[in-house]
Amino acid sequence: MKCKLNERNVEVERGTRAGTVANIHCPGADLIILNGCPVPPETLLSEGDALVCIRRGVAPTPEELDILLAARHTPGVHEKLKKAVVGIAGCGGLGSNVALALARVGIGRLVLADFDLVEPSNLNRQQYYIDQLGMPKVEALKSTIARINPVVRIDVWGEKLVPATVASVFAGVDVLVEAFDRADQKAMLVEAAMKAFPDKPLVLGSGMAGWGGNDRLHTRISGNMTVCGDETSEAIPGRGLMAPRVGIVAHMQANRVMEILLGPDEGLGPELVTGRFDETC
Amino acid sequence: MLKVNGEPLKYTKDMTVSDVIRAKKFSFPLLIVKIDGVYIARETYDVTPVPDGSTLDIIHLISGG
Repeated sequence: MKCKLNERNVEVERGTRAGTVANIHCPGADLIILNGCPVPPETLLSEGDALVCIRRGVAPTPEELDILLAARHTPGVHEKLKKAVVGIAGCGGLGSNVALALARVGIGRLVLADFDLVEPSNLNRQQYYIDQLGMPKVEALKSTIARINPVVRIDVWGEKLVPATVASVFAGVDVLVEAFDRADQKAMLVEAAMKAFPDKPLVLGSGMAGWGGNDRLHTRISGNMTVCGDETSEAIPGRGLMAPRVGIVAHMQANRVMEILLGPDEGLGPELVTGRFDETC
Repeated sequence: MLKVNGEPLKYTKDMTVSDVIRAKKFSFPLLIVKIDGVYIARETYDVTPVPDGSTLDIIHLISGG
């Protein structure tokens, strides 16, 4: 029967175990991932299975990396995401987190826009490091992404976005993520994007200051526009922006981008009805 | 009758987007308005009629990110 080992077709006999195939094709492998999930070596293989074998502690070649990196993805996801282009307007608390999440799932190309430099007050929620202080955010983020997934292509725009440049910089993206801090900039982006490309999916973040209140964070979809956040908690004097809540909203945005690109995940488990935990587990 | 952010709102004759915003007492300065999923430009709120029976999504844009 036909199976895939590290994305290459292999012919295996029925009744073959995962560990046997790993030993033949990938000696020394100590981590076997079957269809996105780690399995013990004695697991029996079925027709069409996708197997990834990894030697822990050994640096892969760039060709191997693309396959190994996606080993825990749901099968089929990686191929689709590799073809996608996502624009991120603003590389602060939202944008830097969205960019890294999408880089980790292997988005084909990211278009990053931000005119700012990394400074110390960014480090409480943004994906930058001490040794990047003073660097343009887009350059710092580009170098961090290269350390995670060098296969992702990165385009950067290091000037302040205005309506005309929104229209040109993001013309080729499949989905645009609004990731600004200031409300007037968010409005500028939405207005410019809706005029330049009214049909392009747009994912906004609005309302994420403070802490706690997990259950108030939501996703609202209206036509091609999605808003993530609580839509009420503004960053004002006395109510700051901190890593957990901003990071949650950023990952809600990245998660929604995946949903737009891939369609709904039919493989999600059943929705849990609070108070009836025993019946669903 | 209109549906605004999932809640019913009584329709009045010749209602505009600005009338809906006033009726809902929305005070946030930066709003995004969509009527049946279609984006309405800010400068047209005073003159854009809201058809009876339509669904409006009004999104508040607030600072933080």
